[in-house]
Amino acid sequence: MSSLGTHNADAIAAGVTNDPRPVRGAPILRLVQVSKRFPGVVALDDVSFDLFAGEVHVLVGENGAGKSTLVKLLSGIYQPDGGEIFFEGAQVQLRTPHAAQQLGISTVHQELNLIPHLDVGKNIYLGREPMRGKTGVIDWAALYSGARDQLRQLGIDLEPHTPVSRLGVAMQQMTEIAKALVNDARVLILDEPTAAITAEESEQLFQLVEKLKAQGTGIILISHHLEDATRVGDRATVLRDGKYVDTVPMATSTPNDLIRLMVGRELTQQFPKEEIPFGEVALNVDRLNRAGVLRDISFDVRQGEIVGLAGLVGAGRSEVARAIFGIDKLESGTIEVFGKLVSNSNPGKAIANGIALLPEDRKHQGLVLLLSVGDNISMAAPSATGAPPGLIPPRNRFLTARRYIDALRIKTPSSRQKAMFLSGGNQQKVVLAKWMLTKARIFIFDEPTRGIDVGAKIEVYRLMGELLKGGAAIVMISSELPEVLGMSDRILVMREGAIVARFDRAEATQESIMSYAAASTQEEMGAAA
Amino acid sequence: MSAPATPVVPGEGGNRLTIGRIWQTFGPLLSLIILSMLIWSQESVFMSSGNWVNVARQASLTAILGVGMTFVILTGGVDLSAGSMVALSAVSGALMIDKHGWGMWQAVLLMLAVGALAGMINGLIITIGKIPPFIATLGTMQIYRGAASQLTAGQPISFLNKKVPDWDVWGTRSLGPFPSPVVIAFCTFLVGFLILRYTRLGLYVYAIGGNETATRFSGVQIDRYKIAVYTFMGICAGIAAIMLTSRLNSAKADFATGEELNAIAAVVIGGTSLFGGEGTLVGTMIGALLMAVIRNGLTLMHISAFYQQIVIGAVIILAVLVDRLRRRGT
Repeated sequence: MSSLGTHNADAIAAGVTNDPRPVRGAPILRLVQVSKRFPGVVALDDVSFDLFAGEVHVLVGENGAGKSTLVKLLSGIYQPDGGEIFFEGAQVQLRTPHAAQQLGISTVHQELNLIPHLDVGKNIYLGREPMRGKTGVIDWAALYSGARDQLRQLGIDLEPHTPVSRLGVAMQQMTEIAKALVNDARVLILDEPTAAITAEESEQLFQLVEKLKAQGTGIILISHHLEDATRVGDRATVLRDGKYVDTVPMATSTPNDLIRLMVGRELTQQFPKEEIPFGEVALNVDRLNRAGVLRDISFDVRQGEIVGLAGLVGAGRSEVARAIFGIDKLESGTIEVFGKLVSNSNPGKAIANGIALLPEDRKHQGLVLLLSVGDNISMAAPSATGAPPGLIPPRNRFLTARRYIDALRIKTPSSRQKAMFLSGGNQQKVVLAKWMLTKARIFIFDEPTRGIDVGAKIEVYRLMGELLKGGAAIVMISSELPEVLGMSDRILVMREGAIVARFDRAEATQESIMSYAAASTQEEMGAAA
Repeated sequence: MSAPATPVVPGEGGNRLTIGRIWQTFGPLLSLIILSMLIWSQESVFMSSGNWVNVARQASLTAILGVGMTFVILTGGVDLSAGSMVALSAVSGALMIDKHGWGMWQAVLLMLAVGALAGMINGLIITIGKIPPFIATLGTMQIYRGAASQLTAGQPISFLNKKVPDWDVWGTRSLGPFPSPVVIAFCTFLVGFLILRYTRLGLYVYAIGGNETATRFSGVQIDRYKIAVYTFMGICAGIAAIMLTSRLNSAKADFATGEELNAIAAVVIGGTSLFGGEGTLVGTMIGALLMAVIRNGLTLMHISAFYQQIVIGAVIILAVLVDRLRRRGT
């Protein structure tokens, strides 16, 4: 490929690794001090990483540790801002996903990229259909026999004519792997392959991984499930806050070792947590259920209290918020607000019952970016601006907004400024102002400080404190453990749609939370016993 | 190494006056002025007050439908049935006048009601049926037009002024120097403008088009407001039907065929985003005027109607192209 800048291969191969690890020749893939920055965030900071042929190298880390960024660099979706990537000894630049694949680095992303209406064979060969000579006519016989060979070789029991839409997630994943390997990939990247499949299906997947390993393919496995690492991993590299932490051989490491490495950061941030006496029970949810999403979720929150919901992405925390707020329908379970049974069948009713949701995705769920600060603040409770029924004159919007801009110290040139031009922290304050205007008494913060710089974070924490002093109750969903530990009075840990552990502020530690959030069912049993 | 894509840095560029921003506010108006000057330089009669009255009258149908269409497009939708709704309410009213001896106000109310009902049906199909507005109104465009033809058996209903002598008040008389179609268009615009600016419906029209999810998460009953918007579009079609039957002193099932496309063009030329959330009613009015000016000017210059069509088509594309470049600029 002309797009791949190559250096002298021999010169590079000579400078092999100085790691004290079992060396099986030169690494097939090597990242040297790779960095990737986004505005305001260093997603990867000087990370080095290598992979040998016939090795399963597991990447672990908390949400936001930089795993996905690393995968995107290797699959040609992002370009690094610094550092070098070597493939089979030669320096390469992976400018596009196509370039990465051509080179022999194939990625199976967490979101599967199959075309459901096409069959397995067509999906496997998508974009690389065998042609009859140069006629541009597809050689269907060659395509299906090639697909059949490929599947057989991988030990996947699948008929190439089956439409992908008829396959379960696990089989779709197998199809993706077959597709990834049809180019004789030397490196296969599996991003969270076990996130959506059952334990037996995972086992099937791991058998395939072992087979590929025996054939000399280098495999990078990204997984939240630490037992995956112990099951198939040869080595594990731990990332934390975009930085390289350590690489350990799995033969001598336990999941607990990994957890310690994953969370071992210091609590450098400040959490202005105040002691506020608790009042009445503001919100009480009892056995909320939603098939495949939520299982028997029960908890309560008192006035003046923050209940933190910890867990990994996909554990069902946001789904709890959505259910309480009336976005998703519940199959069973009850919600009580200040002792009164309520039915929040849509957000409008939830708001009328005094509940507010500050969603995790501010830009898509929290704000209308094209509208002004004043419009956004007035949106949920136009009557509260003093406007007559049905009306919301600009004067009311902007006078009301002015009050909150002053009270919450929202940095904006005017209340007529479009929300899109505000910084993340100030946008979050606008969302908060919108809910304060509805006179909400129960605030659900979903990832309250995501994408917000440190200074603004502390302001958000302070505002949470103000709400509590005013008699509000807060449910806080957060993937940042220091935040959960620093701000919550009680902590609930969720995994796979259920609450698996409850801690008081005093007894929770990052390690204990992580072990419940990431542990397998057996380990959890063991820990509970 | 290629530079990473840099997203808009928040907090910057808020109030800077970029060319893009100036264009958004004054672009359509500027085009209108420049174009008028150009035509004036070729044909001096263009600037006479009599001709301007003419232009305004020609623009009024597009303007009236454009008011409703602006609402619809601001929510991120579209209404292809607008022309058919005009025809359906026109023949409904005309039939009652012709066959059942209805008086003026009964007919006027009926036409508005038929328009409102047709629009509400659009809204119900879109919200409850969850069918994209393009498809839903593509269907009702045929249905309403077919219903209009069926009602009249394909025949025109003529000489409405014989049954209701004052029927010409809506189309051919004047209020001072202003022809009644222009007055009606202005009143419709004013109502639309006040709704957009002062009511919750107005705020939610922009909010739904800007970000439907966030609006729903703010407790707004999206469906209710969408139905209201399509109903309003239907009422505008009813108003257009009253004006048109009065001006032509008749009603026919092929009335206003293709007028929805002129209305959409006026909205787009006026700077409203087809994705919704951004745009103004003033822009739509200028868009309607701009198209009338082009037609009028080219006619004055003895350029054939076929060329006029080509020019208008080019203007629509140009308007969206400029808008796209503007968006990239900000």
